Amino acid sequence: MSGGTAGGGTAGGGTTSGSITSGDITGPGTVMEVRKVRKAFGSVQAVAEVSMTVAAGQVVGLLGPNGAGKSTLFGIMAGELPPDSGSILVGGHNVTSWDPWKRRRAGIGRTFQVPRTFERLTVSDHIAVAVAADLGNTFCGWRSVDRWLTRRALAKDRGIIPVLEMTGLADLGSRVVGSLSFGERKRVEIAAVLAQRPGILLMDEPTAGISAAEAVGLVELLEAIRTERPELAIVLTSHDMDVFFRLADEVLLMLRGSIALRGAPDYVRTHETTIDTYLGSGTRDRRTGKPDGDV
Amino acid sequence: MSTLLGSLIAGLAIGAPIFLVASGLVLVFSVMGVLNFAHAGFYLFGAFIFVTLGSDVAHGTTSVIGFLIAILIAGAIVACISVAAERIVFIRTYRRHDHLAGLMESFALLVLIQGVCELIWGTSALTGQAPSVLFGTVDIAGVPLSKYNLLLIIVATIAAVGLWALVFHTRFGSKIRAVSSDRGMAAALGIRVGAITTSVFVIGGLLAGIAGAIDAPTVAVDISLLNTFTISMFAAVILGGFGSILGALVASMTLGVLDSLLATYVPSLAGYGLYIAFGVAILARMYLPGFREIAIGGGGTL
Amino acid sequence: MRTSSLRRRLSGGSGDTAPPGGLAAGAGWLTGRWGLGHAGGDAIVAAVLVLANLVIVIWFGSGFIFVWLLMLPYIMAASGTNITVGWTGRLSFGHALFFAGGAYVAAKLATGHIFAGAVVIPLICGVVAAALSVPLSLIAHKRRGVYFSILTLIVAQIVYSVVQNWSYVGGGSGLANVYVQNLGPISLASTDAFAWYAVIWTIVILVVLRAVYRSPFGLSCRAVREDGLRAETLGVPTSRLFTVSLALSAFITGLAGAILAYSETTVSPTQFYWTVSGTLVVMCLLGGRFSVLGPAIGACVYIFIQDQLFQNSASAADALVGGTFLLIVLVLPGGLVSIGERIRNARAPGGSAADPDPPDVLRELLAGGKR
Repeated sequence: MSGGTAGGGTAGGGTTSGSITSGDITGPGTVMEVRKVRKAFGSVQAVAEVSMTVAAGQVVGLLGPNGAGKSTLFGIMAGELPPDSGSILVGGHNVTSWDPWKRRRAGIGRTFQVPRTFERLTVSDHIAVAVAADLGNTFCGWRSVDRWLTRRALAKDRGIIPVLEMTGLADLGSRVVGSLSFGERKRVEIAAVLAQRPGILLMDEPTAGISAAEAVGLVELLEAIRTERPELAIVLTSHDMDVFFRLADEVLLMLRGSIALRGAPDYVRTHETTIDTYLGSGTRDRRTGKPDGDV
Repeated sequence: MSTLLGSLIAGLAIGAPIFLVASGLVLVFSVMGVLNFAHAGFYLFGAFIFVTLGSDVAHGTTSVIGFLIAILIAGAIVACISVAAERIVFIRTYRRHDHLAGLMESFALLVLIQGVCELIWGTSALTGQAPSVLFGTVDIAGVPLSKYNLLLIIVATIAAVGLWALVFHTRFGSKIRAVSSDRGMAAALGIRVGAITTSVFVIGGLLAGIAGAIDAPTVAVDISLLNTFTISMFAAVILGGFGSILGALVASMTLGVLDSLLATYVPSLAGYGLYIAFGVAILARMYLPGFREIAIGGGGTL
Repeated sequence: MRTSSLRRRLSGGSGDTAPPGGLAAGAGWLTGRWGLGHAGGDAIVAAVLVLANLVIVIWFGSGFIFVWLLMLPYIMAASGTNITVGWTGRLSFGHALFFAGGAYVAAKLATGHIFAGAVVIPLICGVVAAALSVPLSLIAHKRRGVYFSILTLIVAQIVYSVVQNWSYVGGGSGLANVYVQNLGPISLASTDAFAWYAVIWTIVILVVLRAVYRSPFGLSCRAVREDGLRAETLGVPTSRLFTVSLALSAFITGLAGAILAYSETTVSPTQFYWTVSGTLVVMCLLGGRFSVLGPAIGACVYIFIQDQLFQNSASAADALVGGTFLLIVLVLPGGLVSIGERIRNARAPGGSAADPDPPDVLRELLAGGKR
């Protein structure tokens, strides 16, 4: 049973009080639904009527060349950009007009392509801030983080310990994040987000900027997390095909603001549209329809 | 009618030095991304330097040429000081991208400037000398207008037109605009960002120095001038929108005219002009969402 | 008398400038060294202040004690200001509003009959200051840092103008005869007794601040300072946090203002001038804005040096002091208290925490999970 507020769509909406608007209800098992979202910047239509659903436990990959609108869509899903029209529904709530912090309550977690961290704070501090926000204790000014908050977190048993162990940060607890490597910072970011038990995780280019070896490690981490938390849904963008293959259940190809292709990773990879997009249509053998060099 | 006109002219003259300083501040802010607290200190330097020069160079009272030369020298010296400040203090700001720290450093610089001025010129008020021919009134369309006020307005107009031409109609100006909107990109395009930034500091310092020098004959020049002028300067920048020289012009002139009109017609509210303008602007911003919204990119555009 | 000119310089109107200082060490360094823990740190803070007060009262009765009585409210005010400047990372040039506002409220209430006035009135002053901060937060809602700085500056200036011309609060000459009420049967009229009164307030404020610093709220403030967007995506309601942190900051600064009013026995509109805010900011930066006790140390150092140098040569002092302040800001962004850390880092780089004694939540969670 999922621990967050997302998923399990019971009729009537989720478990957070007083925040259901317009009664949109998504189907059971759907964590997030994007409905007909559009966004233009001036005369450029960055996102042109995109709709998609993400089910609990599903990993969806967003593929597409730069400028296809992936980041914009991401920003809209995460709450950093308002769409021109359309809506985002999470766990039964219409979160389209919600601030990022409120969306977090609905169960959305977000990591950034270039990890955004609190430079002068320690790794532990990151986890603590995340846990405090999750437990609703952000404004608690009279209790200590190390004793009271930790005890409370353990008592509530939101199952964050295994996940924190997986990220391999145990020895780095008192290190200042500013002194960590890029790969380590990515893990800190993931750990902080996972410490909040999100229902859906939005990951922007998780393997960008790290070495191939570290990328493999990161993918393994995500696989392990999926085993630990089977109900966690993930939406990720990447330019690394490997990531999609190892993790994604479904891949969406975005072109010029709309979804051109949708399907299993294998299907999308070998589809001619994808090949055209990345390699150019001239590389296709006109007789067989397969890319040159493919036997 | 003549009092109204006289009052308006006086108002524009009050706004003139504010505009000179505020426009330099806006320029520097747009290429550096940090608001330079110390900019009012440059104004103060200009005033003090002029006072020192004025008593030597022209023996003040008769030579207009001497007067103008003194002003330009003051401006030039302040421009040098401005560059020194950039090299020593602000050079680290670009690398660190920490704008709050930059703000603090500029404030620390202001504190230093204050101390240095006090050390060199002491705490008592000084006055600048200007040729007597520049005082008194001249009749325009039957209305007696203060000659010095007209001089201030002329200087501000030259500066405004000059800046506008420089920023929008020269290649140098387009480089400034490039650096102000995206420093990294400009560097990638081969623009010598460091040189452009330093040049902007030169311009800003020059304007502030000239403003101080030209204001010196009309005010009591001492340390407290710094405190009061800082407020006017910031008010003009904030009311005009951070990224816009035109905004600084409009705001400075509005503040000056408002001050002047209040002094003439509603003496009990004299001195409150700035605050009234501010109050109105704040309310407008809160309740009229589109009204004078500040449009600033990474480092501000002009 | 030297302290009256010192006071004049500190209360604004003509420019304020800042000083250099000697070595300083936060209590965290001590407790970390000796393994005393958080309560131990509190005890050390209290002990230091009590000891200092004792020494000053007994040996420096008629001279230095007046400088001390000026330091204590500034210690509190700077610490309060730092909640905005250091913890939440917003450079405010308007805290004179809260400082002087608290002082004026205390002045007005000084003659009223309020039960346990000596304790209640400063608290009321704090609450009023916090209330004043709310409209300010609304106006500065979601504005960039620079906008906030200038906005606070100008709002404080507006209040200065208003107070200067408002006869109800004494106009340009301010109010006099501001005395602290008796604490039950104990008279606080004598300098010594008042010194104890002020010291106890200071200890209480510092202990409270140390607790808040390590609370989820304090941590969230610092997280927002580091990266507001990241904090927001982690679920921290940034706008609300700004409002609450400014209110708390104003509360403490306002309370300190009341103590200052009692110490000076007069209030004047020049206390609202923006240069007073500047002085508070200088104290925060000087001592160390990233630590809890930094501002307190900055306040002590600032006032001490001003007092000492001022006796000798005023103008040279200001320039020297300004230059040193600039040097410190450029070279030691963490302020004086970070000297120890810088030396440690130079010897063994690897980044230990900015907070000398950080709570290691991760370790505790993992340990707790294993039980």
